[in-house]
Order: sequence, then structure tokens, then C-alpha cells
Amino acid sequence: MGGYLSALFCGTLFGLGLTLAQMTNPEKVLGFLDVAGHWDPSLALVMAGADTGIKFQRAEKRAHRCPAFDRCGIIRHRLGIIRHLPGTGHCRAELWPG
Amino acid sequence: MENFTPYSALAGGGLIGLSAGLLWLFNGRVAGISGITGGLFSSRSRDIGWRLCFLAGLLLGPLMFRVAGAETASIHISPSLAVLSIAGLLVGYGTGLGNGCTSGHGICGLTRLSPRSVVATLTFMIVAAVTVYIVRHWPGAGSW
Repeated sequence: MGGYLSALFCGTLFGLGLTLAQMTNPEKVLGFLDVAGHWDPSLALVMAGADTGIKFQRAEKRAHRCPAFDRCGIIRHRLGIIRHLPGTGHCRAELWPG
Repeated sequence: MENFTPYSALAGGGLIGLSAGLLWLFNGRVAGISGITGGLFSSRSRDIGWRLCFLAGLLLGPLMFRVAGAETASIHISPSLAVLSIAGLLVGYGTGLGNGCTSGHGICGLTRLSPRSVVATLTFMIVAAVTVYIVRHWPGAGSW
């Protein structure tokens, strides 16, 4: 249940961010891609903002608390491995390189 | 530089980044829209719930803007349905093959400095820019 709520919350946040940044408007995106026309670098700033907003994702390579709403054990994921450290309430996520 | 909106771009991007970070923290999932949507069609049914919730939220966000009375730019879609369908197919196939899109690779992957994501992002940005150039500036092209 908590997982559903957090996904809904994150999705809403994402949608709000997209709308605020005007990424829902094709002309805004095309303006960034139209390097030979009236160039609009806004999209680059959107990505820069996202990079900043996501910074605490860096915890991935260190021991971190288990994803609150997902099963934690040894999860071999397409992206890497999540290893539960028994007795600590923590798990370590190691992403495959690349 | 026309139509440059640095503050809303940064703020909106910050929200997107926050969302992606929180999805990782709480759900252990990458906020890649193409992956989340694609997983609806190929996933075990156990996996579908959070995907539907995330996508519902994605639609809710802009709706909240509308309800709050914020003015959003009117959106003009000029290509024909046929062109849109072909473009959609290409996007779907390409993001499936590349395992990600602008959010998965461009945001989540780039932040990790993942080489695959760097390559993917550079590739689709460059190809998209070239396509736009051809459609908009190549003499005789694009009356579609």
C-alpha cells in the first residue's frame, strides 16, 4: 500500500515538474533541438535542475536503508544487486557498472 | 535565445529530480517513463500496481496546474495522425532497444555518470537535433 502511495506521489511530483518546466509543450522541446533556429536552452536547465534534485541518489553505492516499500533480500536486478545486511535494517545497493 | 525560461526550467527540473530520487529511495525504482510504461505490457502482474500509480500521478500533475488556474501554454500539434503514429512507434521501439529515454537515461543515468546513459542521451539528442534541422531548415522539406 505504501508503495502505491509513494509511486503516486512521485508521479505527481514528476508531472508537476514537467508542467512547470513546460516540457509538456512540444514547442519548448523543439526549441532546444532547433539549434539553427531560435534556440531555447531551457531543456538543458531542466536536466541540470533534475541532476541537482536527484543528488541523494548517490547513496546507492553505500549502505543505505532498505527501499521503504519494496521487498529487500538479495535482489538481482537488471541494474544491479540489492543485498540486505541482516540485523542492521540496511541494505547495500550495488549497481552494475555502466 | 528565445523563449528562455531559466527559473521555471530549473525549478521544474528540480521537482523532476526530487521525484526520481524519492522513487528510488522508497520504491527502489528508476523513474524512467518509457521503462515504467513498457513494463505495463510485459511485467508480471505483481509489478503493475506501482506503475499505474506513478502514471496516474504523472497525469495528475498537469491537471492540478489546470485546476489551480495557472496558465499553461496552448499546445499546438501540427503533424498528421499518420506522422504522429510513426513517430510514436519509433520512440517506443527506440526506447525499448535503448532501455531508456530522457528521464531514465537523460536524468537518472546521467546523474550516475553511467556510460550507457551518456551514450544514449547524446545519441538521441544529436539525432533529434539533426531531424529537426532537416524538417525545419532543409529546403523543400517538411510540409507535413
